[in-house]
Amino acid sequence: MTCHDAREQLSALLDDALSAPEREALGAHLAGCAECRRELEQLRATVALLGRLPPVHAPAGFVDRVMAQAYRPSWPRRLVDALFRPLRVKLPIEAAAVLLVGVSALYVYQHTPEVRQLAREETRESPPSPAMAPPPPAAPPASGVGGEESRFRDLAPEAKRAPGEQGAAREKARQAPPAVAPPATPVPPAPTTRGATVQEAPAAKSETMPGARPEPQLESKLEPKLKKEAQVERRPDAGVATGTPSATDKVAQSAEPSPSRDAAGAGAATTASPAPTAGPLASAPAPAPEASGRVGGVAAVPHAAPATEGTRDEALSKARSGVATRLMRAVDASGHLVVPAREPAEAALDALLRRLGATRVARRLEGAQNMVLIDVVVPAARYQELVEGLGRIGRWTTEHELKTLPPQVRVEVALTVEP
Amino acid sequence: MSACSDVVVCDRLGPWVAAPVAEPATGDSAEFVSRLRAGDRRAFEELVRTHQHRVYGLALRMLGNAAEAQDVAQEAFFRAHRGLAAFRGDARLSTWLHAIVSRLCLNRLAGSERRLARHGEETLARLADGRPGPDQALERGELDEALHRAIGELPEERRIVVVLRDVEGLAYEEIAEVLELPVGTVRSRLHRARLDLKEKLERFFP
Repeated sequence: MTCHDAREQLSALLDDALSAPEREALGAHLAGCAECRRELEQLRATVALLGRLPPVHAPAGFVDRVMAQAYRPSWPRRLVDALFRPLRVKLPIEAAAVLLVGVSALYVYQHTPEVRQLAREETRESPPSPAMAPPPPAAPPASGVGGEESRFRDLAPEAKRAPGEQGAAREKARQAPPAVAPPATPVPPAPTTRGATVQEAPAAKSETMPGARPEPQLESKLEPKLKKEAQVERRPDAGVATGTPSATDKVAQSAEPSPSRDAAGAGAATTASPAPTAGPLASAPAPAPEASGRVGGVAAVPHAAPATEGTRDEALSKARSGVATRLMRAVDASGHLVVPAREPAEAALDALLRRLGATRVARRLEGAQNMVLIDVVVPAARYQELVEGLGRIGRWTTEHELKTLPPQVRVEVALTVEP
Repeated sequence: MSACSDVVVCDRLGPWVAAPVAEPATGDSAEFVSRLRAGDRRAFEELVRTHQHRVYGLALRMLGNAAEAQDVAQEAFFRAHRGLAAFRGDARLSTWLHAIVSRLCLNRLAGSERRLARHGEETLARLADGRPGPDQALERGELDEALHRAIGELPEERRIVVVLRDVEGLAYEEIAEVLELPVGTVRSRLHRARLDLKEKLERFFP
């Protein structure tokens, strides 16, 4: 046996893994070979060292972790742990909580100033109202909750025009009384928008009453006109265009007698009838063309005539601020859009709106929630596409949606950046 | 004798193989195995409790990193749990578990470019996590460090054999079963591993 052969078997010898003849032969070699004996001793020492390695203990809680992993679904405590420990579950819950807080804040914010404003305007408008033909409640609707009421009155279609028109309407309502009573106020309702006119019916009527001498005629004239306007109001584009703050310029144009896009429908209709008929009848010697288009104008006819650019601008800006306060009112659908990043999402939204022929009518920041509220108006036929598009931009959750959508759907998109 | 191929030798090894392996407290009683296979949660917990240190220890020696070792050991038990129904009663449970964890370790070592030796001091420091107490660790510090380093520097296929044999105390045949290798291969790999270690640990010899 060579040293090489012998050494190959030294490990087996240590482990007592040699057959008897092997062991014998190896023993004979080792007896005569000091080198191999030394090698064997070193190997033995090596194995001994390995045996001295301290025992290893699994970390504390190892069994529990294994059991949790193995029995996760059927072990309630582990399930609860699993629910509340990992970030991927915890984060959405936290996000939902934040969202809930945001929505509540929004709700309060939305309603509290509303009430305040309503109260303020009720006190302002109460004097003229008692004498009115329509009962006093008619006045607040025009300013405060008017959007809702008129909407329910007319049922579906005009719902979307709510904020803008209401704002304008309220402005008008605010301006109207002075126009009727003290002639000092040079602000006629002239520049108010056609939408405001439409929406204003009750208020305008009531305003008309106290100041208007030809009460009966006016009444009779108003009735058909209102009906006509109600029809006009149902025209999708009419209501929407006026309801949008961004459309104020357009509104200003369409407030002129020159027939604008929808003048044929709304402007033209209203201008046509009240101007020659109601205007003069309502003791309006010089019904300005601008004023003629609206009921309020009828009421305030005497002052309507000299509607200058300046007064119009003033009224417009007022109307705008009115619009601003009403931005969050009376949407037909609303929801939350959670996106990875705001700018690209807004750009995508704009592109989507362009594609759908929809308009973005308002946008504002809700600072605390880092939320952007975007109001858009989309034709009902493409509403579904809008929702799908939103779903592609981010995580879209519809929160509110009228069962019957008006032809022009006003949608409020609450855009938040995901945490 | 040297003409004998390894395989032939191993065939004859059987009766003489020493098996100084400490038997797990839980015997592989047929009743226990059938409870396991029936999905008895208590039985499985007992299995984990009994074998956790051996499974974790093997992973730690192989991977040299406490966090990775825990990961692999946990995964091994998880797989065992899922595979219990398919567990063949002809193997011992410990052998079966060793096979699972060995495969996981070797896969992980092969899959990653990592080599324990490259982790250097950091790895050694983390290895200390598995030691019983700081006093002992201090006492044995130098030797342990040298041992861990020497083991970590072995090629994986030798490392697994020497760890199973000289640290975990498995018999040749068991190792062969765990690694699905011929006993002769186990024997020669073990010998190479010991020679490698001998070179590196010489200064500690009496």
